[in-house]
This record gives sequence, structure tokens and C-alpha cells, in this order.
Amino acid sequence: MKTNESHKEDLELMQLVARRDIAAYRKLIGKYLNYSVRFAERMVGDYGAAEDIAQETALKIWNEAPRWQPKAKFSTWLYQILLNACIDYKRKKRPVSLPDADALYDESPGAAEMAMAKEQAATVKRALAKLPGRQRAALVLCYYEEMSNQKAAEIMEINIGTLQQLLFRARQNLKELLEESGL
Amino acid sequence: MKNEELQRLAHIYGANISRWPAALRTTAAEMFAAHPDILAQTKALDEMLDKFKVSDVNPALFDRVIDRVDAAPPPAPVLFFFHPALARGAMLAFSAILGLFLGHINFTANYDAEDLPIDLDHVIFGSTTFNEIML
Repeated sequence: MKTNESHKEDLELMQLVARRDIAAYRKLIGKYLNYSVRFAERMVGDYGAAEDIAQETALKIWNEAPRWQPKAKFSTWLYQILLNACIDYKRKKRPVSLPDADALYDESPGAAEMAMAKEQAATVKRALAKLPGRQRAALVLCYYEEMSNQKAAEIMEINIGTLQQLLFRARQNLKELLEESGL
Repeated sequence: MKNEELQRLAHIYGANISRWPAALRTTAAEMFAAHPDILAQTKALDEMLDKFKVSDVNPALFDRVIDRVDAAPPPAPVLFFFHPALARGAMLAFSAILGLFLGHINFTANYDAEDLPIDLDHVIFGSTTFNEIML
């Protein structure tokens, strides 16, 4: 996904998609759909919403393809659409459906450890959801998506210094939130 | 690199040295070795972040996306004047034609003073202000 060949392939596929080539669209979406869902899930903390966001983003690619200008890499444009969709979703303040702590407990062998792991995962998810949108976006792009600071800054349309400040604050806030939760 | 700087950079890049900028990796490794407490704190946070596992993506999602595209009506063709490059060309051509057209209009028609609908002498010399200043 990070190589120049990949970017070149994306460009060629988008040119075909612009001419309404469904096979090229299938290939392009097949390449990026899973990334899109995972990114959106980490941003909004809800798998169902992440699927909706990824689906709408995929449709937008189809609809916008004839007007698309390759000013930036396709993947940068895709993440920008996804990021905006996630921010819009969070702005609407829909409740995040996180597992109920009582539902995590089970009597079967090894269940206690599994329940604890699930509870910790839910706590991290809740802490991430509490971060301001830009801090969360910086952390998701750089830590989970393993992007360079430069690429993440390009997607967020900010400079690298601002991105580094956001990353610093994100991790600091996350640490405090997790300590408050007893982790 | 001072401790504070290591702590700041550790907050930006995490405990995994391979995620640090290449130019800082050697120094960071040396600093982490000298300050295991900072490395341990950073690692602990990374491990917490790693606990957030995303769900497996439903394979049916791909088919749903393709089905929606198949079912969608074909989008309206991009009209030439909405295409940025063509729109700029069209504007330039329109400006050129307008310029040629205006250039052929005779704006210098002559009028005799008698043909004018108002008496200019009266307007200029008959005004109170003119008389007060000049006379």
C-alpha cells in the first residue's frame, strides 16, 4: 500500500473508474475496503457505524471519480474522505455501543482472563473515544495505521509540528484517562 | 538528547524504535537503554493501545458496496463547463469574442451642442457656486 507502484496502480484504476469501469472499481474497493472499516472503527468506536462510513466512502469514490483530479495520492484523498465522515459522525453525538461490563463475565474455564482482556479493550476504546477528534485522528493515523508523520499531516491538512503536538497531547491524555480507569 | 526531550519524543513515536525517524533511532535506543523507566512507561501505553482490536470485516460488505453501485443510476455526464480546464478555456474564448465585439462598436459618435437636450452654458455658468467663485 505504501509503494510507488501501488500509487501508480491506484491512479490507473481511478482513471478507469472515471470511465465507469466496474472491474477496476471492484479491484480498487477490494484493496481499500478493509482498511477503511478498520480506520473508521478506531475513529468512531463502533463497528456498525464504521461499516456505514466505509460503504458511503466507497460510493463517494464511484460518484466523484469522473471529477477527481490527481492532486494528491489516491490513498490520501480516501483517508481525507473517511476522516471527514468520521468527524461528522462523532459530531452527531450518537452513543458508542460498547460492551456492557456485566455481559463480559462468564463461568467457563479461562473466562475470567478473557473477560479481563475484553474489559481492558473496552476501557481503551472508551478512553480513545473521549479524546478530542484531532488528537484521536493523529493517534489512529500514526499509531494504528502506521503512517509517517508527513502523510498523517497531509491527510489532516496540518503541518508536522501541529501533528506532533496532537500526538503528544493524545498520548498524555490517554495515559491520564487510563490511569483514572484503574489501568 | 535530554530526558525531557526523550520523554516528549517517546510520546510522539512510542516505544518501538522502528517507528522513529531514521535520524533519531540510534540516539533514541541509547537513551532508552540509559532510562529504562521512560521506556517501560512508553511500552505500557503502547501495550494498552494494542488492546484495542478491531472487528473482522464482514466479507458481505464488499458485495453490498458493489450491488449499490450496480443499482445506482448512471451519474449525470460531466458537462464541459463544469470541467475546470475546459471552463477556463471557455471563459478565455468568451472574453476574446466579447473584446472583438466591443472593439467594433463606435463609441465616438459626434454630437452638436445644439442637439444636446440640456443647455450646458446655463448649467455651468448659471450655477450660484460658479458665479460666487469666479465673478
